[in-house]
Amino acid sequence: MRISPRPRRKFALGPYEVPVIALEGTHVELTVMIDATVTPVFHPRVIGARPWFLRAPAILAFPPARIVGVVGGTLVFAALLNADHLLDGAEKKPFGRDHDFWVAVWEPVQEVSDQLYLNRPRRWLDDVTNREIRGPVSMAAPLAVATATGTPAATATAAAASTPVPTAFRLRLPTADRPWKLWVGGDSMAIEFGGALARLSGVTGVITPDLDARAATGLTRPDFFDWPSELKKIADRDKPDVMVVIFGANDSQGLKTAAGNIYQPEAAEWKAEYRLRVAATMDLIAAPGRLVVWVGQPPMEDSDLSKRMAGLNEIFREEAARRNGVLFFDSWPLFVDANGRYGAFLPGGSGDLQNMRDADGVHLSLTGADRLASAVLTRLNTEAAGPAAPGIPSNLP
Amino acid sequence: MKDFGHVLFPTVDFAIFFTAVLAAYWVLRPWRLGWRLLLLGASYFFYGYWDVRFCLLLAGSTAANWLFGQAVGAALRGGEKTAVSRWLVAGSVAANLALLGFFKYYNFFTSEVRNGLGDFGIGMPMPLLNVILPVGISFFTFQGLSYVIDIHRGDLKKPLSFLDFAVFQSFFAHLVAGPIVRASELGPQLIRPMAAREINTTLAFSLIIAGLFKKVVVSSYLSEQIVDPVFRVPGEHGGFEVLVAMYAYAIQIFADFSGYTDIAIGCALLLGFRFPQNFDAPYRALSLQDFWRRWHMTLSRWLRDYLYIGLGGNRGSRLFTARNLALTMVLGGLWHGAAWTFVAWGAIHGAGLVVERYIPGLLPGKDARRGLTPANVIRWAITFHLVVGAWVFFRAQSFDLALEMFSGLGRGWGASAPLVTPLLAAAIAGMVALQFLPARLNVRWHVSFSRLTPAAQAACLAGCLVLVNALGPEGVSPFIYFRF
Repeated sequence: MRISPRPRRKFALGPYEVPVIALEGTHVELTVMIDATVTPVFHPRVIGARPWFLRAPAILAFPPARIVGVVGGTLVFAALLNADHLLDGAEKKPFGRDHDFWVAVWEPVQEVSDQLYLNRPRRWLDDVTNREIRGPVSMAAPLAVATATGTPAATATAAAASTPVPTAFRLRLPTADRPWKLWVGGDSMAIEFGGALARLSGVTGVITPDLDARAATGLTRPDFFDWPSELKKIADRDKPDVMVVIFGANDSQGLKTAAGNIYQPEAAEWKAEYRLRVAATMDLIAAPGRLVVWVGQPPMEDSDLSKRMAGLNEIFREEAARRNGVLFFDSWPLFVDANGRYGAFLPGGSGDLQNMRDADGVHLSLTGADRLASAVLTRLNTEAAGPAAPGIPSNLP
Repeated sequence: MKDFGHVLFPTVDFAIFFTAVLAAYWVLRPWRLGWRLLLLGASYFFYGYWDVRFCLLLAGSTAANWLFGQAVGAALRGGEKTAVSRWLVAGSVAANLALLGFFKYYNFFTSEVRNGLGDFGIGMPMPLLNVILPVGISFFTFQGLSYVIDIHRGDLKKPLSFLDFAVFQSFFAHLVAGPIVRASELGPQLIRPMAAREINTTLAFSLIIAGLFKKVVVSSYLSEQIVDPVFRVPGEHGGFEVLVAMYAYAIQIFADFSGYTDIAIGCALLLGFRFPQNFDAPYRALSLQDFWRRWHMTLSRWLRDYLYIGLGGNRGSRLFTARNLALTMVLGGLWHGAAWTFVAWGAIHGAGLVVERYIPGLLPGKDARRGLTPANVIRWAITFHLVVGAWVFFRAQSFDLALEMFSGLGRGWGASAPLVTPLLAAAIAGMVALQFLPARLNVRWHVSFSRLTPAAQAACLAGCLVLVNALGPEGVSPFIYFRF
C-alpha cells in the first residue's frame, strides 16, 4: 500500500459509511490509491477552502456512489461533447413520436454545449477526418438542378395524361477493348443484389462493375444520405455506360418538402413529392448513351410493406416510361409464388425449392440476388443488341 | 429495411440503459432479492427490446433447464449417477438441441431434405419456414446444457435457486454474445457479489473503452475498407488485395468479437461480477492447439468439457482421439451456422489439430514455448496462415465464393491495389503486433488513471467515447457474432 504525502487526517472506511463530512470552509478531496492487489484505499485530504461548486461531493467517497458517479458523469460529459451528433442522429430518425422525443431531449443539451463551446473539439475532429455533419434537409437542390438542365421534373405530376416518350435509345455493345462501365447501387437491397450483379457481369470480360450500396438510405431522407447529389457526382466523374439503382425499401417513412411540410406515406402529398424526387433523380443521372436501369422492389413478407412497395414501383414504372434511356426493371414477378404472393422458397433453375430471401422477410438471399442479377443482365443484353446478342456471353446462370 | 431496434453495446440507447441499471443496482445492493429482480427485469427488457416474442423462448428455456437440473439432482443417489438421472440428462440434451436445431437448422434441413426427397418423387411433410434466429440462443442453450450436466457430474454441488438461475441465464451482459459463463462461476457471485470497493473500476473502464475502439473503429474500418468489397466480388480484385483482405478479415473478426466480449466483461465488472476471459492474444499462437486456448476460450472450454470428453476424449486409441478431435471441431463449425462453409472451417481446424498432435516436432515443447527461435517463428507463421485461410470459409457467403478467393490469390499481382492504403496496412500490422505485447504495460496507465478524481475520470472517459464515435463509421456495422 502506498500512502499519499502526509495525509492530515486518516479515516478507517467501511464500504457503507459516508466517511467525511466537509467542515465549513474547507474542501475535502478524496484520492484513490491502488496497491498491488488492486484494492482501492481512500485517503481523505483536507486541502483548504474552495468555493462550493469546486468541491467534490462527499458522497463520492462511498464506493458504489463513486462507480455510478463516474459512469453517470461520463455519460453527461460525453453527451455535452457530442451534442451536435446526438441531435443530428435524433433529427435523422423517421419523422414521428420517437423522432420528436429525442430531438426534444438533445436540443437543450446541444444548446448548453454550444454556449459552453463544448461541441468545438468534436467539430474540429470532424474537420480533420473530413466528415460533414448533415446533408440538405430537403431535396430543393436536386429538384432545382433537374428543372434547370433538362426535363422539368415539376411537369412529372401534370404529365400523367401525356403519352410516354417512345424509346429511340439503344445501348452500345460492350467489347473487351471498350467494356461497359457498370455502376450499381442504392439502399441495403443493393448489397446482395449489387454484389451478385458485379460478380456476374465481371466474368463476362466486357463489363467493369462498380458497387456502392448503403444501408438505411433512400430518397425520402436526403438529410440522412443525399443520394441524388451522390449519384450526380458518380455520373459526372465515372461516366458509367449503365447505372443500375434500387431504392425504396426504406422509403415508406415521413418526408419533408422544401417548404418544410412533413407528410407521412399515406398522404397524397407524400406520393406527389416522392414522384418529384424520383423524376428529378432520373433526370440527374440520365445522359445520352447511358442506360439507367431502375430496379423495382420485390414483394415483402409483411403485407403492408409489400403494398407500399407496389405503390412505389408504380411511380418508378411511370416515371421511367416518360424518359429516354431510363428503364424500369420489375423484380416483382421473380419473387412471387404460384399464387402471386411473397414466397421465401421458390423453385430454382433445377426445379428444386431454394431460399430466395433473408429471414427478415425483406432482403434477398445470395440465391435470390443471383436470380435478380442474372435477370437484369439478360435484360441488358436484350437492350444492347436484341435477344440473341453476341455481345455478352449468353451462358448466364 | 425493417428496423429491429437492437440494443447493441455501442449505442447511446445502451449507454443510457446501462447507466440507469447501474444506478438502480447499487441502490438496491443491500437487498439481495431487490438487485436480483432488477437484473432479471433489466435483462428481459434488454432482450425484449429486440423482439418481445423471444422473451418467452428465453423464459421457457430457463424454466425447463432449471426443472431438469432439479430432477437430475434428485435422481442422484448420494452423488452417484443412476439410470433415471442418465435418462433425465439425455432428455435435457435432446430438448436443448431440439430448440437450437429448430431455430438454427430448420431452414437448411427442410429445404435440403425436401429437395432430396423430391428427386425420388416423395413429398415432404414439413412446411418450409424462413425461421428467424433469436439473438443469443446458442449462448443460453449452451449455458443451460452445461448447468444440467454439471449437476449430473457432481461438478455443481449446489443447484441454483430458480431466481439465481434465471438471472444467470438471462444476464444482459453475456446474453447475446457471450462469454459462455458457467453456473459454478456465476452462481457463487449471485449469492455474494463483489463489494463495490473491491471492484477494479479502472480495469472495467479500460476494457469497455478498448472494446469499443476495437469494435467500432478497427472492425468497422477494416470491413468497409477492404473486407466487404473483396469478399463480395473476389473476381474484381488482384491477388495482393485478396491476400490483404484475408488478413484484414482475421483482424476484423478478432477486433469485433473480442471487442464485444471486452465490453461485456467490463460492464459486468462494474456491477460486481467477474466473467471468465474469452480472448488471450490468439494471433500469437504457435499451434492450433494454442490458438484454441486463446480464441473464444469459453466456447473451446465448453466444447472440450461437454463434447470432446462426452465423445470419449483421449481415453482410447490414437485413432479414437483423432476422431473425437475432428468431430468436435466439425460440430463446433456447424454450431456457427447451417452451411457447408462452416463445416469446412471446422474441418480445417479439426484436421490441423490432429496432424499437429501426431507429427512430432510440430507442437512446441514446454521449454520452447517462449522465445524467438527460428522454429517458433515458422510455427507461428504456419499457424497464423492456417487460421487466416480457414477464416475465408467462415466469412465467404458460399463455398464457391470461398474458392474464388483462393483462386484470386494466384492472379493479378501486377494490378494496382487501391484498397490497400498505408493506414490499412498499419492497422493490420499493428493489431497483430499488439498481441505480442505483455499485458503488464497497461498497469502504469491504470495506476495513473485510478488516482484521478471522479470528475477527471469521467472527463477522460467521455473524451475517449467521443473519439471512438468520431473515428468510427456513421452507422456501426452489425455485430458478426449475433448471427450465431
